[in-house]
Amino acid sequence: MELRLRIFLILGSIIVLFYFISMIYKGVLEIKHTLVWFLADIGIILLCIIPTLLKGISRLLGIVEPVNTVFLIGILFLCGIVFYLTVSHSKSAQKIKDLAQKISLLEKQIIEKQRDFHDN
Amino acid sequence: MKVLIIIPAYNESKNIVSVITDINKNLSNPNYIIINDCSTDETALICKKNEYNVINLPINLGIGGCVQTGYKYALENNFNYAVQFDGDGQHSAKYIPILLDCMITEQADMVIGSRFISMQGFQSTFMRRFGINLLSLTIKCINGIRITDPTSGFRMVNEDVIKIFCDYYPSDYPEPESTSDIIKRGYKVKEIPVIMCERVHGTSSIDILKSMYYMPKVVLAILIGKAISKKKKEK
Repeated sequence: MELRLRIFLILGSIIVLFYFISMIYKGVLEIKHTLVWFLADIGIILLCIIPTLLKGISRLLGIVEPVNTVFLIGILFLCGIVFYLTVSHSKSAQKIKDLAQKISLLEKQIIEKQRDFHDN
Repeated sequence: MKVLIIIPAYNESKNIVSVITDINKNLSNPNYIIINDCSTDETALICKKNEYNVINLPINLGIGGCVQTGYKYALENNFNYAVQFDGDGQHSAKYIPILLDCMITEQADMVIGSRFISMQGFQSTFMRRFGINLLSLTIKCINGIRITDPTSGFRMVNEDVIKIFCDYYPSDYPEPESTSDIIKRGYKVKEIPVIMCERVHGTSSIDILKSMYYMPKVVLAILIGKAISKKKKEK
């Protein structure tokens, strides 16, 4: 990988890393969900600092240009994250549905109680 | 023996009054519950004004979540049977005693009112019938039982099935998938002929584009099924 690209990636990753830390500090992000981004960010920095690591992985996978390995890892990582989000969205939708049903049933009970009260 | 009529309604302000009138005309002392799926028109207002028995959902859940609310209500209030009844005037309440009768004499767990046995009344469009046949075939392949009208929203279930529906009910196009699920669990599903009408006012929630997406979805759902090993019918 070219030196310019490496410096760009390292600087970018460090800025993003600090951004993550500030977000967690402010309480916007939950650490549980941020950890995987954190690790990915540190992974990129490691790959850029240790060129032999990247070359080794590239040779193992039969990729001629090491920078393509970076792209490949990036895409796979994003696929993983998107899938994780789909799963977590499905779960949230389920929970929201259950809550909405519960609320409406409770509301119904309250109205009925009130009506009984007025009737007596 | 208590029977609950579950009426899912989304923007049915023009139909809901005639639906309830039909129920009151054909049945003595009916127990019904309208589930208003956060309609944007005056459905809620009309129900309140006429003092209908109604549950108003705080957010729009779609047909699956809407009907499931009705089943949860049925379970909470100890109903023995629950029958789904569309809020758009397609179904006629005079068939409800027939469904119940079939339920008891045949000892079925679910009775579906089918348009395609006597082939009378509103038969739906060609494209939709094609889709329905495809679903019917899928259910036949998986469960070995032919259901002529798997998309019918006019069906009665007993207590056991009410409990299952409270646990899990699919969100969109729920009928074929849930019917297949019930058969797979070893429950007895029967069909009887009914005559349905075309909806009077408003538009159906099903259009071509949605069907193109949901058809494969429902077929896939029937093919894969749910993990049900632990909840088979005890007998």
